[in-house]
Amino acid sequence: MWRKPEDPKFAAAPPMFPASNSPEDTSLRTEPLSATSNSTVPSVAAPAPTAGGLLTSTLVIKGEISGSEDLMVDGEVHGKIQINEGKVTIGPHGRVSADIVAREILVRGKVEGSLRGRERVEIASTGEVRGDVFARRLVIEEGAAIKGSIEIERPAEMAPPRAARVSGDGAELPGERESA
Amino acid sequence: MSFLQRLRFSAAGHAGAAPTQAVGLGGPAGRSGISATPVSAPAGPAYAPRTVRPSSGLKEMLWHLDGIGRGQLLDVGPVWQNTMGFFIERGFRVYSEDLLSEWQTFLSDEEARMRALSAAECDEDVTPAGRAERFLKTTLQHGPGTLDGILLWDLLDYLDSAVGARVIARVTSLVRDGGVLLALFHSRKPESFHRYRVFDAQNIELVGAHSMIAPQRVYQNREIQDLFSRFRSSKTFVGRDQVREGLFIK
Repeated sequence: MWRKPEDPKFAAAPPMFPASNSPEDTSLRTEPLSATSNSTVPSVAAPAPTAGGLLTSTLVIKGEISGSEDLMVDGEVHGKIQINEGKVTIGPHGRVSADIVAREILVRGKVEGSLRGRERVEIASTGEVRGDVFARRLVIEEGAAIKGSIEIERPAEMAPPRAARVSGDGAELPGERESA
Repeated sequence: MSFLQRLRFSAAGHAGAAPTQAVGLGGPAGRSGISATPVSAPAGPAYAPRTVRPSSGLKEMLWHLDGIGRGQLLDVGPVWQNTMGFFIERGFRVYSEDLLSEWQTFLSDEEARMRALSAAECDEDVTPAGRAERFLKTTLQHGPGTLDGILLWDLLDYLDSAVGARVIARVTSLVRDGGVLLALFHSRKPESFHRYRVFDAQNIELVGAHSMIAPQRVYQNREIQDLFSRFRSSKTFVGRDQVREGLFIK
């Protein structure tokens, strides 16, 4: 009736990466980050393919962090963070001196540097940003602090250049007029 | 915005800091990317009282800024989604710098720093003028003549004369020729502390907040004229709440 704990059929599945807005989870997940760390990182089991990265509050990273999956920063980062296809969350204890480029950016801590969110940037009520903010969509909670410029980037500004349209006889057609 | 919506966040008494709720954002992107999707308020302290008041100064400011295109505007109050979205939708690049908060932090840091230094070690100018100069070394860092408009709100009522005069001199240099500056002045010492934000094209909203710094002075009209003497013209509007709105055109 009771299965032995070592029965492989009932081995525990590797822990899933928690939601990025769950600050209670302070465990470290390994992630192939191209970062230079000056802190000892305890080894843990490799996360599932969909898991992202988590820098806990005791970590200090100096260098460039890049990747393709979500990243939660609750420690200290100096350098640059670039997660083009993922979401970067700066936790309430996060202290970042870096420019951040990501699909989505959520700031609950302190950032000194520019934020460029291809889809969205959100500054929570506990967030402080000293730098320029560029986003396609922007969310600012009451209590947030921003010292810098705020600019919404229109889709046309963020899209790659369009190829010229050609009519049947090979003549180039005029471009479409941008909507106001 | 309906009457009921305007009263949505009204609450009896002062609740201290402004509530921490996302003001409407993240829904389907509008033209500006800042759409309004109401977010239900979390349970907790009562909301700070809010009052919407007509603003002739804002109306006049918008008239002067109309047609600029991709202008640049500086808001020296706290960053509000409403204000940011309002001007971004009109094509502006908005700079946000909460000067009163910066000044409060600066004063605290100065006090701590001075306490740590002995009289022999301290060779800095500790007069109000010297302090004001140090403050401006890290604030309002924009190129001269680069701004089309500045929202000064009631900042000057909470700064001492030394730093207030220097802030005015600095913002005057930042505004381009033809640019505009909107400032509010209390006609008497305010009973409560508010932060300001744009409600719509004809109204501003007062949001109750913790008092950051005590009001320093009440400016007389003549003093205001002298402070903004480098502006070529000005208009003054007095509201029912006796708050004077000054629009200064450089």
